[in-house]
Amino acid sequence: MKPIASVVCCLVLCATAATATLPARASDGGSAPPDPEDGGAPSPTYYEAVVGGTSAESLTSTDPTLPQSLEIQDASATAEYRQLGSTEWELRIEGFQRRHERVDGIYDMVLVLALPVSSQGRDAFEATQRGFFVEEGSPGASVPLIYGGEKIVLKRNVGIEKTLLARVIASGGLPDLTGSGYRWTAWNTIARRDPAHGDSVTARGYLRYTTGAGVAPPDGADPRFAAYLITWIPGLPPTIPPYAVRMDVQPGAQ
Amino acid sequence: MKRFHDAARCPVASGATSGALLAAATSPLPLGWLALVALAPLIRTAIAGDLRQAARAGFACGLVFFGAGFLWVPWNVGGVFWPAWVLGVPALAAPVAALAAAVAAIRRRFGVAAACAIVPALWALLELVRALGPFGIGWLRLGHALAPWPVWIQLASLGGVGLVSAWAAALGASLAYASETRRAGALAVPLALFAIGTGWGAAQLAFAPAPISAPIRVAAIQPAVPASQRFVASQFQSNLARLLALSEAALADAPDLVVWPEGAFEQSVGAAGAPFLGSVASTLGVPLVSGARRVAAGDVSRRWNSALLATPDGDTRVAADKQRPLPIHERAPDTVFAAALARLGAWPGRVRAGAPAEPVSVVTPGGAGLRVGAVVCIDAVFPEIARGLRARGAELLVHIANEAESGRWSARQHALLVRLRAVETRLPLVRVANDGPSAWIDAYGREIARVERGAAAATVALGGPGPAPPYVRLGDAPVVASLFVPFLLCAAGGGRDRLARRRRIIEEVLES
Repeated sequence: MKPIASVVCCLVLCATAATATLPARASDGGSAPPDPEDGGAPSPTYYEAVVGGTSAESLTSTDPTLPQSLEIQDASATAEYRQLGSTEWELRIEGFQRRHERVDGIYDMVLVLALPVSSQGRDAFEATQRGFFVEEGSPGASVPLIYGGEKIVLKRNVGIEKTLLARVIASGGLPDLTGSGYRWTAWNTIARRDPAHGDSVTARGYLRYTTGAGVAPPDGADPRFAAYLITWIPGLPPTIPPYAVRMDVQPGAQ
Repeated sequence: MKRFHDAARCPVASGATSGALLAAATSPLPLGWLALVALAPLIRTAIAGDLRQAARAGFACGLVFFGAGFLWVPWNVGGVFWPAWVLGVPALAAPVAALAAAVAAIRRRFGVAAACAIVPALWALLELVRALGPFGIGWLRLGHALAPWPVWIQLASLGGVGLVSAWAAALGASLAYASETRRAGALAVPLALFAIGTGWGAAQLAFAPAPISAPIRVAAIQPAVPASQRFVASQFQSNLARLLALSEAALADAPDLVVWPEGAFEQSVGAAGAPFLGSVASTLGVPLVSGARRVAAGDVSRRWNSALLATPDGDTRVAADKQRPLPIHERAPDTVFAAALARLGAWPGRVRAGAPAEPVSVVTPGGAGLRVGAVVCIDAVFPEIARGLRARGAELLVHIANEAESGRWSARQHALLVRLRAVETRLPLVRVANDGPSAWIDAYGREIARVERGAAAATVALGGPGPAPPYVRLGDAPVVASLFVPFLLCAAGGGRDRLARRRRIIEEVLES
């Protein structure tokens, strides 16, 4: 398995400072590792703070643990829907940066994207490749992100949509897109933490898909539209919400 | 008269000899062939002695057979199973005593031939009845002993393991008949029986039709997690990491299906399903069958020992719930007696018995469709469960097991007897056990590959299913009923002989 989770990290923008409700407050979001010249110890990452160390084992449970909510932070990364042709689209995410998570464990990294839905509630899009490809490097010279020795590709996961997302939407953790012509879809992979990775993870990525004619991109002014990257350690108790980063939707380009 | 006394002099020794032979034959040791002769000493005593001597021989046989055969249960599991073994072994031996007594009674009424001819039917019936009900015991069937030899277990396609057991019992009884009668040519009976069974098997193997679907590559993931580290919260991450690492390694061999053993996914699965297990299948890009504990919505005290199917689109569904949880140790108390024991703390089981499941549809990475029937743990001991899956359209049997608690002896026994399930259903079968042996078995009961104990992952191609055999359609009842036919013929013949003898005696008296 791809060692850690931080692919999430990949997409996650780090963040801003900590969350409001958890002791992790400061942590994950920071855009870069602390400056060594500051002399201070690096602030804990989100999971380091909630777990209280670098091992999740002490908090792991074998009881049913489907998360009930998300710990969401805003990020400066953006999601852009680009129309490549009359029915061809590319959803591109740019500008992710996140500190590398330090808790050793297995992570499920779930990218939540709004994609077209038909009036019958079925998918109104078709991915033209096998998933959401994660890259690193500059925009003109991107290469696949290798993490834990593996190329990171996030694949569609309807199971997550029917369980985790449904529960989070029902509890108000994600906005309801009903009536917008879009719905939330989940794209994920599992990774085990790669201790050899650097202190931060930066990434971009894209998903290419086709639709029927006449599909409009999401309205960037509608605050419901966004993209989320959820980092989930599945063995943690449900009282610990998975860490999620929210990315604004930018106006699309032709 | 002398032979009568010879055989009846030590009925207990004769019975114990049969019991020892039966125990050795049904053990994982390479002594299964002893099943072909194991019953001979007991039947010889039964047809030579009176009812009491026969019953004593039968009881001795049962005590030795079941005492030794089931010793692995308390030995490995311990606790309440020691008193259960002490009480259970005599209870299991009593029907063997009754069988021997019945044979003796029939010998007195209908003659030696009829007494020997009833043995296969009674033995098959005994095994069948023993496996019924929540306390049913499906292990230690005579036919299981012959599992290592595919040529000897092909009869199971006609009548299940019961017919194989009956065949072995018939051989033992016919040897006893030859020994008792010492007629010239009496040995022709066991020789003919042996030739018929072996010939049938050889013909089945030699003229096996081509599988009705393409081969499937199944990866068995054998994590070898020690019993002490299973379902321990602090071990969840490392146990899961082990499974994931082995599964990733298996992907190099391009499997169509990945199988984790019983209880491998240690997080309980609730009403919302197992989204993380779906994520594993999504990440692997291959359908995954895994064992897991399933709990009822809103009531975590109601649980099942289940097999789940996770598909690459992240969906999960229940493939099967264990239908025959191990009494006491695992099964939730569902009788007044069990509930009383539970109140006394002597019945720790909490797992509900599942309902028969439909096979689940799997789409392989290559796009082929396949209907998979999942069999959980000791459900593989009970033929009707696999037979039902085939009848409902299964094309592959997946047996998930974990013998970490019950020990190597039981693991090896289970790895052997599942071959009967393949023959009975003419389905390929893969057995995946936590610490092995894991095995790939074709539709004719031939073991294609095996992984012994220790952490391992292996992928092996299995051929498709064969045509549905008669046993799938007919089950046990017609076969057991037909086994009484030889007895009825012998009894009728014996009756005619007796009438003729009486008539001659009367005529001689009248003439004199």
